[in-house]
Amino acid sequence: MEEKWMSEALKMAEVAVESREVPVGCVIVNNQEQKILARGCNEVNATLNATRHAEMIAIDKLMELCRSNGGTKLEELTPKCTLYVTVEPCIMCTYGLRLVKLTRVFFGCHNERFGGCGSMMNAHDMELGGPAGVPALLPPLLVTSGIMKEIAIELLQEFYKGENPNAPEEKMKRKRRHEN
Amino acid sequence: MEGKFEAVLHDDYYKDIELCWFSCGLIADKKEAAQIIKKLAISHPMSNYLHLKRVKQFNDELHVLIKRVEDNEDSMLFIEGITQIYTIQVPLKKPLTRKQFIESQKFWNCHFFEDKKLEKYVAGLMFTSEEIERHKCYMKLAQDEATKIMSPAGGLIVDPEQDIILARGYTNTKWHPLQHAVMKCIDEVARLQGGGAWNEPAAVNRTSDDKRRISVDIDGTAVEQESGAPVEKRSKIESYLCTKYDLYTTHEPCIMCSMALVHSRIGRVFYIHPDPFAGGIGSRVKIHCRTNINHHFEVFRMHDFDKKDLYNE
Ligand SMILES: [Zn+2]
Ligand SMILES: [Zn+2]
Repeated sequence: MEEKWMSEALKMAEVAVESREVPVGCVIVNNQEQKILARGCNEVNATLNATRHAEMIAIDKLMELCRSNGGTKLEELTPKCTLYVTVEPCIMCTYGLRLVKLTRVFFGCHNERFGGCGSMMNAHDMELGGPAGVPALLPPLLVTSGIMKEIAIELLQEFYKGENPNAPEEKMKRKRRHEN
Repeated sequence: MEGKFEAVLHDDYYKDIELCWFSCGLIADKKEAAQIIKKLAISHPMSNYLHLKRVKQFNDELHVLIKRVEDNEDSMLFIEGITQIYTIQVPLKKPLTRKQFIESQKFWNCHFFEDKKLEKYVAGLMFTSEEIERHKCYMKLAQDEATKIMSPAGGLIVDPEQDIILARGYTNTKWHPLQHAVMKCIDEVARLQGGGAWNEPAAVNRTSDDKRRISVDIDGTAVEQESGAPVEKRSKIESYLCTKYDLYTTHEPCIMCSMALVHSRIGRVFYIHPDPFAGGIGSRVKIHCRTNINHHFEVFRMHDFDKKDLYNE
């Protein structure tokens, strides 16, 4: 079952490639209905905003869905959902996922440079207490890694191979913007 | 009340010195000292302890370090020309600041190269009085941003070179759980550069003429003026993400926002209130100090600049 949803996430990573974004994709699936509620892929270049990672896009889509459904609260929906993402969420996204109370994540390959689910920091389960006397405000993320990681790695390698390291300054800047 | 600036540096710069045990002895015949030290350099190299001077003169005697002694290690040593072997505590690591150096010297002589810039940062004396006034003015405007909708936090991104406010934002988690002031400011900068992702609710939508120039009056109050320069066009060409920009935020960015600032290549960050639960650049972790991260930025905490002080000008 994990592979079915990860294939969908990989499709999104391919969408990213087409628009020359770092190939990372994700889907958020409703556990009970087994239905995709939101999709996302990197949109860093399109928005000139380095924080527009696949996970952030998908959370926004989910938020829109809640709004159009009138009344549904995001924090009530997210604990019933699972995120499938091709690459380990970065520290920013990991903490963002906790802020919206998503609790279950499957990812493909590790993100050695920015990974927040163990690679660079344990942002997925570090204890975050509330103000004095209040128990932990944010539930930890339960994380499973390695789902179809070979394909995720292949996509990334293919992407970075296409980059010309001898490009002039301007192109190099554009390249750096790709970093995820 | 005069506020203080604290540079939020890596913990290593503020740490008390650590000690370790070394075996040490007296050179029996001073005339042979050079030769004994030469032999020691080969038999007991100090490669991991290059900050320690090998020999120390004390009461007209030459004391020489032989080797580190681990806990529970039987330190029976016999070295030709060295007598009265004993164990002594010496600094484990290279002193990074003058304070650590002075502390280290009490135990054993160390090598130390003073970093003048670092010393100013450690002492909180990195800004001129004009700079301090400017930081205070911008921070006041960040606080204004928060009070607009009774938001818990407000932020401001400034181009310090042109002295221009590029973006303003306030935390609006009622609208969206991830719309923290910092994330909104970052997106505003993106919009200024021709991108951007978030559309604000119509009621608080802003227009481009909100970009204002700030100048500081002689008495220290902030004066906002309509910016004369066509900010938007210039920014589009010259800037890359938030490179070289300053962020003023009333509250320490959380872990998400702190990492967003790494991704966005921010130049400097100023904040007042620490976040002991999720603060990413000082309280829980210091993301900006991590050596394995590809972008580093300076962080300053402003002490004793509470609302009252800033509003009572
Ligand atoms: Zn991310
Ligand atoms: Zn935040």
